[in-house]
Amino acid sequence: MDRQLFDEAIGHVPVSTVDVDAVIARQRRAARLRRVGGPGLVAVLAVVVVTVGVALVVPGRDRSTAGNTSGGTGSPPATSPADESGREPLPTGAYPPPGAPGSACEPPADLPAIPGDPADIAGRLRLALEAAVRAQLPDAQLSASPVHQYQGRHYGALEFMHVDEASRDYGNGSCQAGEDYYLARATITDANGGGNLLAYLGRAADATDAQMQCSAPGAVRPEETFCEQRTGPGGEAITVTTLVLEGGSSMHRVDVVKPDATMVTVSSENVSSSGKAGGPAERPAPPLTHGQLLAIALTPALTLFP
Amino acid sequence: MRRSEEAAFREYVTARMDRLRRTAYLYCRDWHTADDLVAITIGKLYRNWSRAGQAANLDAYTQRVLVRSWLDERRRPWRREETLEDPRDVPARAAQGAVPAEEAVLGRAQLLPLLAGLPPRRRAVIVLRLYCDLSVEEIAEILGCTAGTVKSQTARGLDTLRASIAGDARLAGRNLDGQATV
Repeated sequence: MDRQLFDEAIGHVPVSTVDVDAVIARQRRAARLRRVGGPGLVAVLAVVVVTVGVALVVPGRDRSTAGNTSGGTGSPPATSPADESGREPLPTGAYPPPGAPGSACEPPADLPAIPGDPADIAGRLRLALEAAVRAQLPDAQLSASPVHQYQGRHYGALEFMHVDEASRDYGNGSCQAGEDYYLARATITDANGGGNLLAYLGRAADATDAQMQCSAPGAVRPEETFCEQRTGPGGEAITVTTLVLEGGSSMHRVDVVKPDATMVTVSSENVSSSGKAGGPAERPAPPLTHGQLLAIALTPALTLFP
Repeated sequence: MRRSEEAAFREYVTARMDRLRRTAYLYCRDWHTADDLVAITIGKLYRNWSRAGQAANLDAYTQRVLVRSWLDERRRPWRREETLEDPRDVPARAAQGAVPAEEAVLGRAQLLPLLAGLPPRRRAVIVLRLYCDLSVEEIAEILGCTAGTVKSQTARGLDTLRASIAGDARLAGRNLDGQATV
């Protein structure tokens, strides 16, 4: 087995959509912003927030860090409306549906089925999350996050949306894996300012492999300023991180893989909407500490397999 | 970054573009995502170009950025990737007639689905070792694990791939080179 075998397996390589000039230009702008700072920075960031915010109202695929690819040269002629994942529009009817003859998409993994009706599950999780958050922040005001939208619907504070998308075949052997998870957000306001909370519940195919890994020394991910892996009281695989986001805001994040195969991520940022928008911090630190986030994530009722 | 450094960066990235895209595709098996990953990777490389220049093996440094970008992207709650299929199931499905015969004989064509069936870090080890031709020590540094872990992950990954491909080939009366067995 050698490189040639892999190259033969890869087969036809489509035209690159990686725009090196755009990447360099974006990095230059970012470097200038870091150098300039001050009021000018606020004005520029305001424009960025508005621009990126338009993209962020569409959940699914994170384009904020991937926005440095050019979609111009490879754009198909006949397109469908922009999909919920934010992916480039694709030709309608050009590709076979997943599972159809000739489809590149494999059958879904044999993950444990989530028992119950999705609406009931979302309701149960919301009650559990609200109680857990209230136990940590009894005096904070919780309101709907402006970025908590999916398929045109706005969701309330800590209300779970269910993302259930089948795998998608783009032809030429490329396939986007399906997704099935529950996601809740809220804006948090207290005496110290604005912040937010995100809670994700999904399934882990491989509990050991699913544990989030810390970056190795070398600052490949310089935004990761703290990371610690540990084991919870019930055998949970836990990773605790602090990330510094573009614009100077920060995120506390806890990733937990529970023994029942539920994967929980709870994070909190010191911005009201989303740190991915690059806005400045609205308070010195996220409203929830690592310990508080961990207490929420380890709440027994926050599980997909009650 | 000075203009001379930027020229060197551009030259390096352009020369490695094809290999980076192919490697990213082996990780995620989706050209859209692969191009996103490469764009993210070269953005990070640009920011850390001076540090990258001090690396003993610049290609290994770049591969570290790429594989970590991929693993990081996978962890994003809004972009989970799930293992689609246990590669060990392929021969069994073929035996049941669930896999077309023409699919079962294509060892090379099946390599990607089998690779995608491996757990992500094992997949990364296989790609870095066999496709990027990095040393065990370099891979251990990239993934933040021991050389022994890299060796065991490589062996287990290869065993899985070989068992699956060999199983399919036997079912179809072909060897791994696609020739009929006696």
